[in-house]
Amino acid sequence: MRDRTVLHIEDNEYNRKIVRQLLSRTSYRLLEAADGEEGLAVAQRELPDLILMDVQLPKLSGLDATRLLRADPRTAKIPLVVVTSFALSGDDRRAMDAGASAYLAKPYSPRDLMALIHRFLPEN
Amino acid sequence: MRTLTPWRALLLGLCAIALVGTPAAPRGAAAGTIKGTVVLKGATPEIKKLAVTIDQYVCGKEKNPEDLVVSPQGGIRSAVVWLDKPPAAASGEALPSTTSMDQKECMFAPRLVVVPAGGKIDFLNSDRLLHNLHATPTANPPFNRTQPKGRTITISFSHPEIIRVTCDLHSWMRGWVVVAEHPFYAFTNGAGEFELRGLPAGRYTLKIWQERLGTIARDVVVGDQEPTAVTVEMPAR
Amino acid sequence: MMALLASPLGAPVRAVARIRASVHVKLLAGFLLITLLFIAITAVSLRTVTETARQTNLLDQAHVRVGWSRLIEHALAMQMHFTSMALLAQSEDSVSLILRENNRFNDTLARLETTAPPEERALIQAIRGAQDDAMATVADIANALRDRRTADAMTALRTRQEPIYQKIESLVGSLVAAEEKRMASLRTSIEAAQGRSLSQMAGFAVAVVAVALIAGFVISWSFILPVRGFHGFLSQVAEGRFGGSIAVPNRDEFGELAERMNWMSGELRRLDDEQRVAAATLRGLNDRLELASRAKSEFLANMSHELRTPLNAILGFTEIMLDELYGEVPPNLREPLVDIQTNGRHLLRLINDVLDLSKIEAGRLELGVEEYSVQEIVDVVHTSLKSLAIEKGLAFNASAAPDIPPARGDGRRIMQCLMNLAGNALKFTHHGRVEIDVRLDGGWLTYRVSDTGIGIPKEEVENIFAEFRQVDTTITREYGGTGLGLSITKRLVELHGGRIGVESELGKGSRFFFTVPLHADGGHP
Repeated sequence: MRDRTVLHIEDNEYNRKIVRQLLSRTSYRLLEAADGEEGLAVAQRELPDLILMDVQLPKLSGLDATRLLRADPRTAKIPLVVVTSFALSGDDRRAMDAGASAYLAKPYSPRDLMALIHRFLPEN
Repeated sequence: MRTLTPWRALLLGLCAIALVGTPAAPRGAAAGTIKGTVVLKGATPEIKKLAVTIDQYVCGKEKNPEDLVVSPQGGIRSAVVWLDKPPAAASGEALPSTTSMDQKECMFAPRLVVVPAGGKIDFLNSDRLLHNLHATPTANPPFNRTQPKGRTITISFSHPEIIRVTCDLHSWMRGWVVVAEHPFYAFTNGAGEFELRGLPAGRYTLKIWQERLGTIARDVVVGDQEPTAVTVEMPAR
Repeated sequence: MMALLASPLGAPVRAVARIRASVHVKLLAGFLLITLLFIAITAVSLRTVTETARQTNLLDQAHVRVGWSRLIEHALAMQMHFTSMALLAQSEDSVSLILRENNRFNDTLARLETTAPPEERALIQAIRGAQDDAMATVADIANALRDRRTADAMTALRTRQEPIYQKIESLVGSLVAAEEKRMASLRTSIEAAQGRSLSQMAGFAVAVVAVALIAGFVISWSFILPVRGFHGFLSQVAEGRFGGSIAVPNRDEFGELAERMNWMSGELRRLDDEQRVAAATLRGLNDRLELASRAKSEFLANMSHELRTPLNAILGFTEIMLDELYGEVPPNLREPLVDIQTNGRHLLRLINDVLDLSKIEAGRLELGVEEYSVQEIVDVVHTSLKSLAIEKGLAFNASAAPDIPPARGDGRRIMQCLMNLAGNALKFTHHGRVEIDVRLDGGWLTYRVSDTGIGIPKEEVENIFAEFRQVDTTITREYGGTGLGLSITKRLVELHGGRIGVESELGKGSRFFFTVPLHADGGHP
């Protein structure tokens, strides 16, 4: 069976590192992108099984990228979790309106992240 | 006004006689004079004006009744005074034989004239309308004559009488003609005064007549020297 | 009406308006004029009436004269008649009748003579002369009849009386004709005169009415015109067109009024301009404020992200390290790691509080109004803090009244408030118990947290909800906490439209409570 792929789009290298560490012991294959544009390109190219997208990204914002991914029929069905820092009220609603499947609040517990990944991609 | 009673008159007469002396034979000049006043005894009657009913354009609207004209002192005007029995020998001033009576403004003017018996009166009409002389004497012949303006109607009177003259057309008009028996007739003036002159001394009876008051008599004694003053009172009626 | 004003009547209207006298005076003058005209008309009519009366009088007199002249005629005839009668009857009564008739003739003739006009005097004199002759003849006839000289009487009648009577008759006839002619001409002239005065009066009356109407028209329109002008001008001003001006020819109160209105219009224009400028300034300021606000929002968003991102790394790494994802943790490193985690979490709490307060300050905090379960909130809080209570050996009870229906509000924030109060209660209590209870009372939910803790001194109670105030800075050091919790709780409660309060006794315990509507609509306080 093919390994499930998770795409993590995050501009902060430390946060990328955490997720890298977290998924190193698992069977999930991790793809990374550092900005919205790259993330969009990778998603369209690789068609991962789960996308983790930070809201605040350079070049293309997380929500815009979400909308674009949802607009593209190839990527429309991929589960997409938006990571938001809840700056302003309504951030959560905005995330869901953009087409996110779920959201996660920063700072998040790595356990919570794993739980979420397991939810969308049950490990066997 | 003093009341002159018969007693007083008598006394006066006697005194007069005493003064004068014997009245036996008249002295040559008959120079006695009676100077008298006829006064009204009683209240002066109220003058009620007579209404003029026709011919007002000539006669006016009303007339004073001049049947009794009294002076403020009580003197009666136009009272006729004469001697009842005139002295035989004397002949006083003769009265004018013709006199005139006019009709002016519908009134006889003068109201009273004296004319000797046998004398004449010329009746005149100064009014510019017809008058009508009318008299009905008893002793003299009556006359009834229409008279236009300017015409004179002469009437003779032969018998002594006091005659009333009227105008048929104007009922208020009154005139009196006194036909005198003898010359000793006088009539009073406005003050009621009269004078009889040329009287021999003696005692006389005065007769006084006023058209309204009637006739009264009065005895008087005439002296030689002084005129006899006499005041006759006629009672009001 | 405007057409009438363009006509020649417009000029006098304007002329009257220009007169420099008060409106009062002008009106009085107008009425005075009308009164005078009225008096004039009355005078003229009185004159006409008296004139008519006088002429009627003249006519009456002429009529009477005609009557008299006819009476003379009659008397003459009767005289003739009676003379004939007397001749027949030969009595004194008949004669007196003749004489009376004769005198009546004279009497009437005398009346005619006294009021005769000059042209008739001669005629009347002639009649008189004839009458004198007639009278003499009559006297003679009368006397003859009395004397029974009938023949003489008849002769006199035929030869003298008859011709004289003829003469008199014709003269009298002329007199009658003259009188009648006079009366007729008088009547004609009277009619003419009356016709003239009637037309005069009518003309005068018409003129008076015309003058009165014109005067009334001119005077009243000298007032009405400016008033209409004002009306139009004011409508203009009401529509917002300021700065116009009105010109009226009046130099009376209306003129002054026009000046005032112009001044007012100028003032309004000035104010309007000022207002426009102010509005533009305000718009500018508003725009700047907009920008500032947006900047603030962006800042908050940025700050939130910037602060939380590294914290995410700190806590994340700490956690995966403690989860032994990097391998077994040496026992001596376990404690420092936990310390790092603890402080990291504390820092997170601080950041959250500061960001919350910033948001509330900026008015950017919006409540997410949804249905929430009161029981659920109470349970979560209880569950979260239970371990702390057990650790401190405190009794910890939480309950909500069973009849509370689902509430409406921001459940998360309500939980935050309750968590804050309960956390404080547990923090500041060493023995005894902490209790949470919720009640519904007439549409208001009352959340209550009571404890048997250290209590709050009386003088600090009113300041307890102010920012950064804990009772004592020593307590901050001892108990930790940011000092922001209560002020945030207060704001959140107030955002729900509720109120918060506290009762406390130093050393005995405290009771914190807040009320929120069962159905809050999340409006800003």
